[in-house]
Amino acid sequence: MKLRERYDLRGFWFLAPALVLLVLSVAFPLFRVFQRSFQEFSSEAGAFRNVGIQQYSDLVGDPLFWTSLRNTLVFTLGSIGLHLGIAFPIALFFNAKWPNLRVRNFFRGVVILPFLFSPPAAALLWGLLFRPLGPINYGLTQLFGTSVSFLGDPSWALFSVMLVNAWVYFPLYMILILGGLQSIPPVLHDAARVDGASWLQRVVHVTIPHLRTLLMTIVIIDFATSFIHFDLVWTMTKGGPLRSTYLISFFLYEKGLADFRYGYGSAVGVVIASFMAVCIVAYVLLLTRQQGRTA
Amino acid sequence: MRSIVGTALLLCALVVALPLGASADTQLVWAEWWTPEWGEDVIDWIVSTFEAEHPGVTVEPFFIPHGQYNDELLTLCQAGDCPDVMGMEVTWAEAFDRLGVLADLQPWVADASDAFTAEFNPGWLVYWDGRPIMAYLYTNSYGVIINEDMFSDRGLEPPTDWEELREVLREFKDPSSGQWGIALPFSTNSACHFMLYDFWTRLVQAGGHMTDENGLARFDSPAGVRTLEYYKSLLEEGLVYPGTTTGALAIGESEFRELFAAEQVAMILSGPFEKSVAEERNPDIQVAFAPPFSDCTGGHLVTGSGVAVSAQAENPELAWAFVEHLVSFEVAAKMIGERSLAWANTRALASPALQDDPMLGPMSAMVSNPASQSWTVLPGLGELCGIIMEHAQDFFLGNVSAQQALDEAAEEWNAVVTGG
Amino acid sequence: MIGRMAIRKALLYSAGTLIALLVLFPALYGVLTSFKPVPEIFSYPPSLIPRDWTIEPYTSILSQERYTRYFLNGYLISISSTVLCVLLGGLAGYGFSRFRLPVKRSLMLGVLALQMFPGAVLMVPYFNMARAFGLYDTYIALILIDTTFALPLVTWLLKSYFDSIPVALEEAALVDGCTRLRALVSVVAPLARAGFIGTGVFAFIRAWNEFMFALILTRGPTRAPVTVGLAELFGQYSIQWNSVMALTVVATLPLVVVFVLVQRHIIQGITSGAVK
Repeated sequence: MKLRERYDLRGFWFLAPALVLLVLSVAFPLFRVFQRSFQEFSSEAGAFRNVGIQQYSDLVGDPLFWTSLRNTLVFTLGSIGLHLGIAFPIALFFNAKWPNLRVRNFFRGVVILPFLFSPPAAALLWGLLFRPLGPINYGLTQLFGTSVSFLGDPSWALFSVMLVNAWVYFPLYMILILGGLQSIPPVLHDAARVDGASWLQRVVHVTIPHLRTLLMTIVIIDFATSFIHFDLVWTMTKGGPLRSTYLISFFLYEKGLADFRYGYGSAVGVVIASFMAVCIVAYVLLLTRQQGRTA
Repeated sequence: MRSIVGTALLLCALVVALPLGASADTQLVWAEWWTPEWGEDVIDWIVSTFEAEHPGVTVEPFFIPHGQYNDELLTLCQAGDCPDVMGMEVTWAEAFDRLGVLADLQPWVADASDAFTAEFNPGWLVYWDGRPIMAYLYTNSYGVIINEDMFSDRGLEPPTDWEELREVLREFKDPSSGQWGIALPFSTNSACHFMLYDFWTRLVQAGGHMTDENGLARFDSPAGVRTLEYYKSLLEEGLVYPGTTTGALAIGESEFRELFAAEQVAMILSGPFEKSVAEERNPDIQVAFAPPFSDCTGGHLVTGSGVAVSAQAENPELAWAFVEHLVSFEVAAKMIGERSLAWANTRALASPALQDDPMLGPMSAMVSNPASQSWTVLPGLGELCGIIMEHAQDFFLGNVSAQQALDEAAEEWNAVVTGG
Repeated sequence: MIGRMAIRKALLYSAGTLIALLVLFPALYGVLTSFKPVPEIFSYPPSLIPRDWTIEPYTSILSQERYTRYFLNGYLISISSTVLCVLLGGLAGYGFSRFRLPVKRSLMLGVLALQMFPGAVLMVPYFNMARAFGLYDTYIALILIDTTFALPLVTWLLKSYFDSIPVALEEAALVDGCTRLRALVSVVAPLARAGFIGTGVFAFIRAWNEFMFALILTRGPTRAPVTVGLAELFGQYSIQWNSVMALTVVATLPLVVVFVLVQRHIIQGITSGAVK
């Protein structure tokens, strides 16, 4: 009995519970949001009335929208790079053979600490660390005689918030990758070692290909969560200085919701989601086509 | 047997009567953000004193943190769940009114109790679209506030105008101990406070106006340029914490408060409430307003926070009665004495003790100056604060000239005010 | 080979210490901040170790009943939604991984697409729905919402973990007469244990840190989680910096302890026996 020959509709039973929940709790409200994006609240009528694509045309004409889109792309792509760049080596590090497992487990348990800080707490903490005469700048002044206004300098601010975001989230990605590393059958590594492969070659030719789906999934997850990021950066900078950290979710929030311009906010939401969907679909197609296999 | 039946009947009667009794209680919901600042005791006292005078009424205070207040309340109101009496900021009022959930206070004011009519200054009503939709609970004005001990330690006199301020700042500057004369909020985190405490206040002093009667920008005037250039000159001389412009852009209002309480800076530019806030952190600190400044005018900005009544209230008379209670003499006296808030009651404000109060004394002079301006309801006021902040930052960083910054800000401002 | 072991030990331990320092220094600063009076936090030069130790933030939190309520609610909601999420996501991930299905690719991408809206957009619809169904200020509403928000990514993650487990094992089990479900539970899931841990952690923290909907859908501390309690410390004028840190420490300490103890037992390398 081969498992993947033809359509096996029994699979839908496995999908059903999750799909039912998602359709009921997300798909319906989102459809409402889509409807709203073509409407506007009029105070005379005390209700929403249809205005066609006016919300969308207003949106496209707002330069702040484009600024925030650009910032968000930088933030998202930079974050993905940072997260993977930090989490992957550290996961490899923990997956290596340690002489003393207790010590390894201790370090591994401890590294998750940043992830336990909720966004407002982390924002506050790093606000204190980054402030002009705070600990980090004090160290910089004592050691190098310079100081940086991490959150006040428009050329530093976006990078600074990306750094904080990475500090908070890299443990998660490390754990996810570690989970994947542990599912690689040791025989593959052994075979490669026998063939004379160095550690780096093994990583590139055994580890990464085996984790392909997982890594792709992680990139997609990181993209999806970073693109609509709100809490942490909002608490730290509210989009400043000089709109340098103004993300697309801030645009939606400030322009759409804070003044109850709900139709406009809905349009922004739809545009964000569509943009993300296009990026992700393109990414998935690109990768699976490369591999030459269907998902 | 009879006694058992009797007791049973009595118990039944009680069981039936209790829920009836409970439902006979009218409920009034009061949405507020003040619990962390005033303390739960004060909120409870306000509530219980009202309930004592209105038997059968329960007031339920509904606390929402200030940062999320606007969102949550808008969500509640659009669903028809507006609290009867709502704390309200001028920044938020327009959106609520657009939803149609704010009651017109005019009929209530016209028919109000004698105590109210005698003790509530009509200037404390906030108008929009020709109707009063909000009543101030307390007003604020902003000026330079000093740490008296830090001045006397150096043998310095408090500044009496903007140039004296500059000189005093030079005396206080001490980077090696991390001390400066003043900390100002140039961070986007507190955009509205920059606009109110620093920009608008200085603008009024420079003889300018923020808007015309229709809410369109008038700050792109020579007075506006004078305002921005003043602050930039302070920044360039390194007189503002922490001595650099990009550093100052990282300082928001929560930071300047802590720096003041920690005595890292000798002055801040803010309102009378700073005294009690600073004393909570540092019980020994001696806080006072500097003598009211005068530049081209001696005017200051008048702002405040207040309450609005829901148009959906089931019991509007009761809601109004609660508003009257909030601005009554007893509540006013307590809030003035304990929290340094210029509570909206003329009798309480006229007390001689107030004139000696280091905060409220000078403030009444600031507010009653004929050139003083009050801030108004405008659509998208939150957005407008951001516009001013952003362009001011642009200027401070040296990217554009002051006039350019103000012109661009005015253009965006008008687009928001007219586009709605 | 003693020399090699020693070098390896030295490298691993020093790298570990460096990473731990960089990662932990901020966290350590945060914890120490919870023991400082606020003026000291802003003093100059900045202190790492408190000069004036104070436990007032802790006594204030631990003595107030409302915080116990927040903790209990937070744990209840987060654990429930994690369990629910991993269950539903595990089933769906298995379905996506092991079965050829019509419109599968569209379904998978559709599921992911649901993740792509900023939460703020759903604020008003969810509030109205909760009121309409009588779920305002209930645990169920929050558990469902937290589950929903994590479910798409959890499903994708578990699918990819399942993908990396060879099919051969299940085929053997099926030949032996197991149902698909049984195969999932007894054969595949144990092998994907590490994946479940990671995914569970993701779902838990996502639920734990949920703020906006937790605030909007609750009234008062009765059913609100810790995030709401934290927001109360952000006053209009001043932030209780040390209390924010203290609350974070108190609320997450159990999590840290559990994680450090438990990960030792559950995350293990695949023994060679499993593949055979």
